[in-house]
Amino acid sequence: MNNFLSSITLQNPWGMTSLIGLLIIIIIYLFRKKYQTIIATGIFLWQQHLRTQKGGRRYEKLKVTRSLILDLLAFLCLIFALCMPSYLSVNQGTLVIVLDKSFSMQANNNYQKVISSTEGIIKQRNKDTGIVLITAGETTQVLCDTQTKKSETLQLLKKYNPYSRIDSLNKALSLSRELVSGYAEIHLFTDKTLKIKGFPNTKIAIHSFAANDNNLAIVDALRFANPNKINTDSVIITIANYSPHSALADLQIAVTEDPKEILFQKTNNISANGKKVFELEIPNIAGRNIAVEITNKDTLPADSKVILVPEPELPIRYYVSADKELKKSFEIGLQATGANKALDLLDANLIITDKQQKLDDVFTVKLSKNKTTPKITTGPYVISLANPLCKDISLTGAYWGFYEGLNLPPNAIPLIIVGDNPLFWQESKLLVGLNLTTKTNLPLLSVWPALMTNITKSCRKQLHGIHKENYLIGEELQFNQTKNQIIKLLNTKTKQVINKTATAPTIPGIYQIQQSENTIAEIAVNPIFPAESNLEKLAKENTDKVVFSKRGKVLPKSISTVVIPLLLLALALLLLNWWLDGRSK
Amino acid sequence: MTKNSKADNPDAVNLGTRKAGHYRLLPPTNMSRGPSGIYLGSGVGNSIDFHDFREYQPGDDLRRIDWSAYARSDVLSLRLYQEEISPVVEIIIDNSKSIAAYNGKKFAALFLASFLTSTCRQTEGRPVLLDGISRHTGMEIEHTLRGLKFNSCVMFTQNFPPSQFGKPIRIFISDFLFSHNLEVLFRNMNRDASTIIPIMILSETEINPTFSGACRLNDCENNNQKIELEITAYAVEQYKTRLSTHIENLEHYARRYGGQLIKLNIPDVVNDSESFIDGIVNQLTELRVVEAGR
Repeated sequence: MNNFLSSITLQNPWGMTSLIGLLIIIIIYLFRKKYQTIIATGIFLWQQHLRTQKGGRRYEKLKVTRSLILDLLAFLCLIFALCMPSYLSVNQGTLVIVLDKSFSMQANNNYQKVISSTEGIIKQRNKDTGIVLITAGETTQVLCDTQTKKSETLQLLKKYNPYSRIDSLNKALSLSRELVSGYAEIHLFTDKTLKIKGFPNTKIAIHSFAANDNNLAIVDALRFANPNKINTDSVIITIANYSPHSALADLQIAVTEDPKEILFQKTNNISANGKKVFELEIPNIAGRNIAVEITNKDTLPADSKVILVPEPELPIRYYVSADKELKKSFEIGLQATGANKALDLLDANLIITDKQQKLDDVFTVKLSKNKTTPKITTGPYVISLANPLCKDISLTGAYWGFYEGLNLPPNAIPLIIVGDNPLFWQESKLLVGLNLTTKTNLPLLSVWPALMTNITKSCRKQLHGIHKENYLIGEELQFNQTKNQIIKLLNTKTKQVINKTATAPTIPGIYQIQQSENTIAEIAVNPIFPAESNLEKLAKENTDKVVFSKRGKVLPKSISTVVIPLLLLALALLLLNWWLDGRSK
Repeated sequence: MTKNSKADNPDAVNLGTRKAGHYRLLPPTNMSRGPSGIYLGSGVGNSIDFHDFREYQPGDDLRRIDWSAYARSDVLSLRLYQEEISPVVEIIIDNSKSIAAYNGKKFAALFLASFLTSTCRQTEGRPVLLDGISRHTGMEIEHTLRGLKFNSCVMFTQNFPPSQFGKPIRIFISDFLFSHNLEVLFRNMNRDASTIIPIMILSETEINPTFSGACRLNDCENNNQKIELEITAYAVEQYKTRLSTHIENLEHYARRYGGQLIKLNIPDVVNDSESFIDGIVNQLTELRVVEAGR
């Protein structure tokens, strides 16, 4: 029972302030007369008393009636529903086990303890629990995923043999969270010091085999975080999800060597500015597991990490067993993060394992290198709805990859391509928008400004004026105006005459470009941070033509499984009370 | 506040009939008119009991002439004898909803009607039952009582139907818990009647209310009439005072019109029907109901 209660978290704890309403109900009952209905025969004998009793109301002791109890229960249900409780069961969600494959785990036969402990954890789980087994070595390998049977997982576990060199399990941790959607329980078996990035909807259990004082720092740190559950063998950190609507992590928990450095901060930890798509045709893919392994991680910028592209709607589709939907050809998206640095290149091995074969039998296909020059695609970019270029643009949503190819009309010029498939294309002077789904993730994607730039640039080829509408501070502005045309760049404070090119103003803001006293365009000069974009502001003001929809709101589990039943229960209690009152009358 | 009980109409009627086997109803002495029977009436009849003398009128029966008196006074005079009549007993049962509000009251009303009917028959009387809208005689009375439903809101408070058999003894079984003009009620009741006997049946709860606190009193006969009031000890005392005043008024008007109010206290529920009816019969002493043989 205690475990059950402790697993309930309130997403809106301020709702508890409504408890004061209980007091109000009691006061109402205290001052409200509850009449006992009596069938009287000589009512005229009582009526005379009625005339004399209206002088005042006598104090009446509060009676704990059925009506009061039902009202209080109904109100409690409403309060509880208002608090939006969510219940995370231990046996729900996906179990992710990350095994440290470093040599050091061989000390004291730790790895054998790991195997036995892991076996115990796996056997405790239900049949339906999805289990992902990851080994963190020089290369991070996924031994099995949620589609693998439990017995096979236990067989694969016995293959665990620490013989590698690693410094950090962070990559395995990142991968582990990318592999599963929804609630996950991650068990880490390691003797390393960890810097853990927390994830929403995640329970992390660290089984530490630390051998020296330095490594024990992790335990110290954890003690600071959760003093009641300290155990050098198994420490559990439960991270509350304060962003139930988001599949990305808005909350980070950093557990460092310094016990005082336990950080809870809101941040956009997944921001990419480069994307690379590898393509490979693999025959006989059905029934096999596919994993992606990054082999040239050393070439990445120091502050970068490689993650699988998060797909809000299809979180693990490109990763799970292909026996459901994968076809002969498929795409794997990789995305690199790093401050203002694009992903240059990734060498990736595609490892294909067959369930029926041993891991040793895997074969590796080396992917071809395709170096590209990174583009500075940072935004934001402003699309003025008054601009005729935006006529007929509709951006109501798109998925990345995995949709059926489209047959372009003749003479159509694709503008944005995802894989082989055009997302938007131009037909003569008209932009054609695709309405692929009612939800969209485009405005939330980091590459969104680049998409918009491509659209506007391609549209501007036949018109005079600037090539872009948004500029970084200090970026060179280029214009296509003729010699006789004088263009002014101005806002409320400054005014600048422009010839052919100019440097963007140093003060951020929206500038009008005037030609012969007519405003022909607007540009935004902004710092890089996308939050300062006026895209959404413009969208709100002009939602008729350009729709920048937010990501489709995902109904949290707590609402469907807890809140709605609570509301129904409250309603049922009120109806029951009303019905019983009616009967008693 | 209808309280359930296993006793029903046939039980009460049968018990009344059975109990009446030991009793008979003594008619009042001032009974004046009625069909011929065994009781002396107030008028002139054919009995052997001397009543009066009067002068001979042409057409009088010559056999009634007192010849001895004629010899003494030389005046023809007749000897008159008292008439012999059988009493007509009109039993009016209040079948309003207030009687059925308590099972004991309902049971008692049915029992009394049946009991008085049978005792009346035992004394060569002629019982008539009025159940609010119609008149029943003979064995139809018991049949009517067995199926009587207490759902009426109409009573003979304004106009009692005229009797078909002289001046009846009119027994009115009711709780009298209504706020009509009592004088009008009793005057109407007394019209064409040789005597009136109002029997007031009240349940224990009506005499001593047991409920308290905030109550919503719904009139059992009128759903739209309800009052909300705080029932305190003081309120109960006031109620009792008004009830006793009401009863005194009833007694006053009953006396004024030659009758006598008989007040019966009835338990709310019939637990033991034998002891229940014994309790009722014991309270009927003023009704001139005596056991056979006395």
